Amino acid sequence: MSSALKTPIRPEDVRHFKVGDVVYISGVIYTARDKAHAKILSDSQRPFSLRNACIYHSGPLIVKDGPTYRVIAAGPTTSARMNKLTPAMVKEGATTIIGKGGMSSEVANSFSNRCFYLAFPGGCGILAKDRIEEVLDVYYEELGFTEAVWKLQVRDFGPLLVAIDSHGESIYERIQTISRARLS
Amino acid sequence: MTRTSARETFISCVIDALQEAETQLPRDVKEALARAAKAETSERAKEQLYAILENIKLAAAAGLPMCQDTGIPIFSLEIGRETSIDFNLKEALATAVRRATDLVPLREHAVDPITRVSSDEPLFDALYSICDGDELSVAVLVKGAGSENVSALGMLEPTQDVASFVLKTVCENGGKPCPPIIVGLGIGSTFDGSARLAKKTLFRSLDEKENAFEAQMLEQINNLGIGPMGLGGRTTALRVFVEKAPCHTAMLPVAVAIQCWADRKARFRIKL
Repeated sequence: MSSALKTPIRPEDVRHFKVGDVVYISGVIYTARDKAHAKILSDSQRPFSLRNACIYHSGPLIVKDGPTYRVIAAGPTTSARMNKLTPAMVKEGATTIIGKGGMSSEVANSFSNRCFYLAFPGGCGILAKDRIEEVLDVYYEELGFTEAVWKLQVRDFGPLLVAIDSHGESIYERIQTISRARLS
Repeated sequence: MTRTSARETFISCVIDALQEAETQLPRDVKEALARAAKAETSERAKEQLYAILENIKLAAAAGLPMCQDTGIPIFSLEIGRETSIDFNLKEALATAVRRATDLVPLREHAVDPITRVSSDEPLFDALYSICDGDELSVAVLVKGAGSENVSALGMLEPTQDVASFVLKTVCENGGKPCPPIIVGLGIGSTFDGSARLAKKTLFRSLDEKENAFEAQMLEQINNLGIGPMGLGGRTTALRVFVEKAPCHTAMLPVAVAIQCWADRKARFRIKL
């Protein structure tokens, strides 16, 4: 199944998706990686709401062109580095996580019918950039351009494969069970 | 040639090589990816590989880095013993990386390893060796953090099985290094020697004929079924390279250098 979704994406929007479905997202997404997760969660004056937010694990390559920001490449980063802090992001209301390489079973279990994990093809920086219409804002710029939170306007952002669904079903776990069995 | 111009010539060749590596995937890697896309039977695996091939095409056409992680440039310099180099090679490499950061552009992601505060020092590594002849031969390999992070070094006991260690490393890391990967194995030597051997293999061409051990390792890795991006499929690795060196009878160092599908490489040679 291939569907188009518009942000904000609510918990009831993610529930009927199953692993293997493909979605394209239009609207607003926020990049966040290691440092940004810690910052977002500890910030009592968070500049944006995590309620129904779409978090994109990415450290985009962005340059400043006079007063504007130009996105050069913006593919996903390895999501597993955010395993520890993701359940807290879900608790705060994030409903959509985009990344690559998969996440832990603890993360999958934290989704409990209100969040899902979407895989964007890793390393595809230009494919992703071409679906970004505008840089709307930047938060925590002091972390540097790679680690900062970029608020991006995207159109038909994808292809995004539902790799961990809101019920905790994970393609990565399925594959890992098979490959571990073949090891022995 | 004056002193300044030899240095400047070298720097501009390094910048060109970096630009080429970041924006154009070498033919051997592109062909291996295209073959893998054809060979996959699962639609999901095919889609991942077609997205990768499309991204490669777009990056080359736009002259932009194919991945936002513009990586760590690893240079391999083979210095002809009849060459006379009257400038500081390491400084020239640093200058080239700095200039390429603005020109290509490259992502500024260097940090101090303890404070984690952004660092202005250019990020790169270089391996130097002396060879015959009167040329300076330079190869650059761009290494992303996703694949570098899952590379491993095992100081095995001499009776332990090399293949098991390699397979376990690949298996436990699943989709993290952006498969299909290229696996470079350094077997023997010392703790650091094995890592250097492994890293050096990644400069080799995928066209090179594989030996029996490499072919067997590749088959075993692909049998794991991890597939493109860890989403399942036949192609977990495109190639396994092995380099070995004698080691102490009490030791068995094994280094596994993993490279992502974006196996970004370029090379040049000059007479200075």
